[in-house]
Amino acid sequence: MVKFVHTSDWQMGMKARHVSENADRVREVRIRAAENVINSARSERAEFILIAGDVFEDNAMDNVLVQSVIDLLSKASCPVYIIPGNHDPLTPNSIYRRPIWERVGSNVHIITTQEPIEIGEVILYPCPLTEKSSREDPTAWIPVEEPNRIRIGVAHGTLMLGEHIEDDAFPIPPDSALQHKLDYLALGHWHSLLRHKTRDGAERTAYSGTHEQTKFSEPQSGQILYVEIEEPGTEPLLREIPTGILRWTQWRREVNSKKDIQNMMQELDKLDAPDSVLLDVVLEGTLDIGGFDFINEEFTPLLQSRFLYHRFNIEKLIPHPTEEELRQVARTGPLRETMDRLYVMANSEDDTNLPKDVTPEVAKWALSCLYRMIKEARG
Amino acid sequence: MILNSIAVKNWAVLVDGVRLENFDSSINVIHGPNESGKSTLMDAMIRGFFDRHKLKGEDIRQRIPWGTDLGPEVTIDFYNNGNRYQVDKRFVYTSRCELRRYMDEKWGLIADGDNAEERLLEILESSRSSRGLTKSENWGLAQVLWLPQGQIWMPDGGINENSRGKLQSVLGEVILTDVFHCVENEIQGRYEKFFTRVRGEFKSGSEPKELDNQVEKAQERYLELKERWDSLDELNNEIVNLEKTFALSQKELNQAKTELKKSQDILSKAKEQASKREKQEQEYKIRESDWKNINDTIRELKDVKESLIELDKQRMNIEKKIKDYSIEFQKIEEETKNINNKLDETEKQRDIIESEIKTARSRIELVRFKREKQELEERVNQIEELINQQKKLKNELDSIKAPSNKELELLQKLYGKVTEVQTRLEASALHIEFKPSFNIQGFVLKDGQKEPFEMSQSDQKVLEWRAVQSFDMNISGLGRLSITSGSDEAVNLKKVLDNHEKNYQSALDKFGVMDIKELIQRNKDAEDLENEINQLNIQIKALIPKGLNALTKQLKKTESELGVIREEYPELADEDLSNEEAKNKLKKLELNQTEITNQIRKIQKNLALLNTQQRKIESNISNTQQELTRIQTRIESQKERQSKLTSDRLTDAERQDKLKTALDEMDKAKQRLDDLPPVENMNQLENYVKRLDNQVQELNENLKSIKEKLDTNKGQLKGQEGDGLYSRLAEAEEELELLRQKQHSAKVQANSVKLLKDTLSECRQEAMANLVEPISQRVTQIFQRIAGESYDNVTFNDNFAPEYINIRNREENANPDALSYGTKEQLNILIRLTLGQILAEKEEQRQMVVLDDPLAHTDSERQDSMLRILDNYARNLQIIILTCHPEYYSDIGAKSFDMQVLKNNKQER
Repeated sequence: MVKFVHTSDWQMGMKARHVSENADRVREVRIRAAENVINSARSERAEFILIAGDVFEDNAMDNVLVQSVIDLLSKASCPVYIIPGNHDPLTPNSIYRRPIWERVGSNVHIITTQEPIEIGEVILYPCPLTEKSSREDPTAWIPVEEPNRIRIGVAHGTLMLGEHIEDDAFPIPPDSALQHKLDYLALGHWHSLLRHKTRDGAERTAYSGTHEQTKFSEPQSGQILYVEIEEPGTEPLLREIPTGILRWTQWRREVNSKKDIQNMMQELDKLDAPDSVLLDVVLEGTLDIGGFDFINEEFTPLLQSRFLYHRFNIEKLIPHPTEEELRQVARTGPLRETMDRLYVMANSEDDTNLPKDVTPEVAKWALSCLYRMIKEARG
Repeated sequence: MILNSIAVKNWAVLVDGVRLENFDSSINVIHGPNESGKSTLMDAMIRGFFDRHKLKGEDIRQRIPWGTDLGPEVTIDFYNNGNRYQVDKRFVYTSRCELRRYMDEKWGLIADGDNAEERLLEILESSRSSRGLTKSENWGLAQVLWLPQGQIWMPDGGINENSRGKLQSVLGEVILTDVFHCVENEIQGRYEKFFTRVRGEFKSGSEPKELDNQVEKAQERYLELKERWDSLDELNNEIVNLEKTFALSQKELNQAKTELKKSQDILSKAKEQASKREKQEQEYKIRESDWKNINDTIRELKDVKESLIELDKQRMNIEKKIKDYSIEFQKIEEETKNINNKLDETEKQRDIIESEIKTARSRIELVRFKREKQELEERVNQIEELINQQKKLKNELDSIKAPSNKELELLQKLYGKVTEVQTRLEASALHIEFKPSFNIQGFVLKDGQKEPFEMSQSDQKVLEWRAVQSFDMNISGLGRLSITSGSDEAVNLKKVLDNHEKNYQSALDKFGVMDIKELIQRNKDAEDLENEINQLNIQIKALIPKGLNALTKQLKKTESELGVIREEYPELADEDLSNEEAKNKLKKLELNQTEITNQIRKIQKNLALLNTQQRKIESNISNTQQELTRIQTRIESQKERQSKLTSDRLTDAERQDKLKTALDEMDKAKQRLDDLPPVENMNQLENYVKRLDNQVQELNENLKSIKEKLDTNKGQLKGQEGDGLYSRLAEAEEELELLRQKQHSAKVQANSVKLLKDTLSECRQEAMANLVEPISQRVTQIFQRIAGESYDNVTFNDNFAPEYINIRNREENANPDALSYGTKEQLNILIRLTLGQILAEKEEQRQMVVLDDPLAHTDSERQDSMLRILDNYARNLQIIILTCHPEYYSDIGAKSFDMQVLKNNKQER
């Protein structure tokens, strides 16, 4: 029996353009989440840790970061086997070729060749990448032998599921594990966790996903896989262990009144540790001008002040002044006419027929501003 | 509001005060000379209505009459909204303000002091400046209805909001409300934070502008790092590719070296074999040459023998041929001789006939000459006769002595002159007729010329005389009658006549006649003779066109020809053959001649044929002899060759044995050569080895070059390790993105303000355009009556001032400020009147329009129009005109106030 931790795609030093304001925080959190991985392995008494590529976002990382990772890995209570992925491939400038790695703990193994490694009763078949892209199957080299020991493959690439798979991203056949008579194939490259059943009905192939979510569209991430294999040929037992720290939360809401927004704000109040929450809010529906004003005056400041990051989209929120709002502006006259025109522009499908530099978003802002000004002018 | 009365005292020039009462509700004209106080009166009215009574400053002190300490006073009685009010104000000293309302037929004080002024402002819907004199923009409706002297369009700085609002509400609705202005100001304030006033671009220092700059810098930073990162990536890829290339080249080099070694061995073996074969080939060639020599000798000897036999045959044939040709030649030669003899004989016959023909032809000539001679002799005789006749006629012509035509013409002219003068003389001369009754005799002296006369009674005739000057009649026995003419003309004519007669007579004397008629006859006769002579001449010329000498020469020539023939052919002299006979004889001879000539030709032809045959045979003989010579030469040559070939002194059998031995040797050598196969593609093999050698060298150099490049690139790569380029790139990209988000947000805000400003301004302009439209229409309509139809449309701004004027058939609109002073003045008045009328209609009460010196620059024609318009407007308006020209308004029934009179009355009182 063997038990180990499968992780990948730590993407240390990754750029966080989409959350640029808090990019440093996001990067720093990835190291803390990696500590969670090491700690989880220790607490689960894992025999070794497999990191299936992309420990680093790029080979051109500074040595401070490399040293941090070395320190972290060296703390592991078990051997750590690392293969280079497509972000940190074993190219001439590979981060793993730097002399700094001479200081890493003896438990840490950077695998640079396609050669089997014996780990107790396990034979590990590593598939390190030496380039950023390729149409070659990285697992193709693994020899097919009758299993008398537990055979584990570790690779970085794209499992050829579905139709729209990039074929230059190291394609791996879905049944590669079966083809090469592997008990388990630990994969990296996809940031969301995926447990794939091979034709024998067993989950012999899996993506652990990244240990810490990198963006909003990675719901199944921020965890590792703890794997147990009883003996050669038996079905592996997989268990997910959360390691992520930040919470990437997406809200798609329909709002049609100020009350709806207020309710949403109450929900936000209930979120724990909001300083670790990255929020993506998309509002739809039809809202009066007062509602828009409320969003500008109260809802947006709340998002800005409370959360680590927020993204707010009201493109599909249609402004619709109430009769009362229109009456307040004027029944007729230039103010009313201005409001009517802005309303039409705010509800335009696109910018085609709008004046230069004007978008529906600009018109919505203008509409909301005008309403507020009139309201203030009327005292 | 309309005015009822105004009283002013202690006000500048109106120091003694003046009171104007019972203003008419239509037109009032306040007039007086300059300095009479008209404008002072208006100033007092304005101050009384709109200024604070507590005003102390220099502005109001200027109204204190010079040299006094009297406070200016004004009392105004007016109607507004159905009420009658009176305001009484005193300024500077003992300042005071009281407002009264007329109710129940008496005045009641309704407010005083500041309160009175506040109430007054409410009534007039006006406002007040915080300090100093109240500016015109605070006069309420008066600012648009009252036109102070010299003001063009609306007051400087525009009309105030209250008045604008009032006008707007009267015209339709309130567009530019306080809220509107508040919002507009707020938007303008925000706009100016972001944009420049003039060009509407982002302002330097504004958030969008700052962010633009920051984004640009961040972009530059990012791109620089990205470029470095890309080049690092590229360097990395280059190293990978170089390593792959190096490995491939190394492999290729090894393969090339192995192949080179292998090929060099093959080449070495091939060269050895080729050398052996070359030697064997040489031996074989020698054997083959020996055999060929012997074989050639045998074959040649055989050829020579056969050739000699053949040549001998040919020689004999040719010799026979030459002999045959010679026999044939002799035959032809003989035949030719015979024919030549025959030819000579025939030619002799031909010569005889030709001689006879010549004689026959001479005979014909002789006959012809004889006849010709006879004809010529006959013609000579005929001509000589004609010449004799001609001579006779010429002699006769010479004897006539006739005048020529020219002479005759001259004579006729002279005769004419004489006749003419005689006629004239007869008409003017003395004409005396005398018929005696008895026999008389005597003489008369006509102009002194005596002429006797005699006449008997029985004669029954009248005696007639004509004299020029004098006539004396002496009748014997009877006496003398003398008649003398007094006319000089007759004397003169007589002289002329004498002269003409003398000339005429002189001309006649040449021909020895007395009368011209005879000369005319002579002239005619001479002409007839000349005609006859000419006729003879024509006949002579016809006979001898070339003259008589030529004819004589021809005759002599013919005689000479005859002599020659007779001398040559004396036998013909006595012949008397006709021409015909002579010709027949000739013809016969000519036929004989033709026949013989044909015979000669035939013989000559045969002769020519034989000559040709002879020449041909001669040629054949010559050719055959040449051929014979050639064959003999060849025979000699063959014999010489035969001699050489047999110089070995071998027999034919010995020679055949030698040939057999040589053939055996050659076959053996051939067998040895065939046992050594030739080396094929030696050149290709050599080239291949050479190519491989070059390739190995090139690969070595290439490997060296790759290695150098690889070392350089790795060195570069090593230098960039660990400096965290990607981290910096990530940070730069994140910073750029953050700035872009901020930039977008700032621009959305800024553009929303711009959009607000633009849209609001657009809507405001449209609303105002709609609002002032009725004013525009009315003013345009009336203005056209004054200034003409070409002024299409007067457009107003929201300040109720004309903005531009559309002029028909012009592309650009006219600026109202560019109008003439007079036209501007008229338009200015019309605007006031129109606004006043609209207000009066909407408010349903008369409005007061004050015009200070209104038509000062208007010409008389337009003045009439303006007066009619004023009269028309007066139906709804109270119009107060201040002027120094009251006569302008005398025809419109205006109420007149004479300032001078009013002032004097006041003084008197």
